Amino acid sequence: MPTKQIFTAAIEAAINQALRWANNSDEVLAPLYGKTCIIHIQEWNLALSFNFAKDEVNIVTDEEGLFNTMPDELSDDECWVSLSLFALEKIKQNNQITTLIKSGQLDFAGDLSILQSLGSMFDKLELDMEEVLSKYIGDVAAYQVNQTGKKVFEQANQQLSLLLQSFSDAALDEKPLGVRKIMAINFSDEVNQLKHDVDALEARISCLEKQRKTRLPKP
Amino acid sequence: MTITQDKNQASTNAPAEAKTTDFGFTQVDKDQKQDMVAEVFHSVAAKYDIMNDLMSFGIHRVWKRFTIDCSGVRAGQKVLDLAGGTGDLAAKFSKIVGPTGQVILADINHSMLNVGKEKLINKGIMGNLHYVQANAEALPFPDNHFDLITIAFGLRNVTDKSKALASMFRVLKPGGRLLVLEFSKPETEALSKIYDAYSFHILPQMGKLVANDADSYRYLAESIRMHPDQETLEGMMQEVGFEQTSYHNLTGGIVALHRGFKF
Repeated sequence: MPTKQIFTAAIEAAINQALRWANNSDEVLAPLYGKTCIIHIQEWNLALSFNFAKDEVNIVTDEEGLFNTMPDELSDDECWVSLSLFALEKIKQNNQITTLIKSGQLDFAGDLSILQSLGSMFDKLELDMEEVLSKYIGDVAAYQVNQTGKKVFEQANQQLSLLLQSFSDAALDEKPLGVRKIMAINFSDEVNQLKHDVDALEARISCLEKQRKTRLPKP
Repeated sequence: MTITQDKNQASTNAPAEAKTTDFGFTQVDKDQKQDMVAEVFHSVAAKYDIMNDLMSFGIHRVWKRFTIDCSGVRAGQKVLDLAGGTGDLAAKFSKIVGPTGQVILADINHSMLNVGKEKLINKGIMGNLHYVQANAEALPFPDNHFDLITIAFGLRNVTDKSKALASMFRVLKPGGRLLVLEFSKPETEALSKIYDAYSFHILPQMGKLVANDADSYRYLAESIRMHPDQETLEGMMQEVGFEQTSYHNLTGGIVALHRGFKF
């Protein structure tokens, strides 16, 4: 029995049910529409591909093993992250990021904003679990369950946000391992300008050479 | 209609010149199989999904999910879901390939196609998904067109399987892959016996109770037995040009997923 498929079906069903219950699922899914976030878990050598549709998330496992290493090619709408489960705690510490990357416990490629949007999707999701539960177990019990659940959820959410923030800061600012799109565009502009200047200089030099040759007295 | 009841003579690997083919355990004229299969699916279309869940205890969802996971499909690609029936695979592919990709749900049977179309439209799956009534033996698509072709529980109903595989090979892009999810041969004798008892005794009764159609589900059980086993189907794929072919048994070989590439 393909256990991976059962596992991913369960995660997918849970996330999509949460999205259906949430009041703002359209809003939180909008920035992710048509994008793909591939998360490779090193211990299981398992890559999970999160594909975002308009109203739901589809999770696909990578039976080919294509994403067990950094892919050669990623489109603008894709992001790949490889991480070790043991590195999760260390990722929160900015000064550990470079060490983790060097030790191979963390790696990434593609548009990092997709991963950030995935994190903020869970952060911003407005789930009124009390209303959902009250239909089944009554108002009082639903209130109590909801309060306990909220505490657990907030704590988990806080940890996830911290993790993503630390990862992003370290990759883009503290340790310049990642490059923002605007930085790449600026660099490209500078290279073009330099090429233009070199071409002009080359033309000027050849012009001067010609002038020099014509002015030289004939033997 | 020419029908010859002969279990022993029926063969899925009949020579190309043969004028008869199998319809379950029955030998029929090749020209008639298509209509007879169509009749079966017209009859079961309305209850197709619920019967699938009941007959397989829901496991068909896991088999289909495994197929999707083996597809390697990416955003922006073109997918053909052949004999797509009620669109389980097409629905998922439509979401994976996204707005820049394209999925074609094709089925020879308009009743099945209509049920699939209605189901997917009701689910709000539109835009990149198109419906085509097509015969797998003569696909109405240009050469080298699709990145992926899937055919789930459909190939055994095709009259000329080699011709259908060749047609799929033609419309597949170089580098593209074909996935065939189909009932196959159980790996052990014990499982085979349990499976036989289930499919010949319980399945038709289930069909009678739920879909009021025992005959169609008797055909299902018989057609599964007449379908080529794992090795034979792999050989057929290689014969039409597929490379790097392989198969993966699911649920002890009751179902197998065959894979082949065009290079």
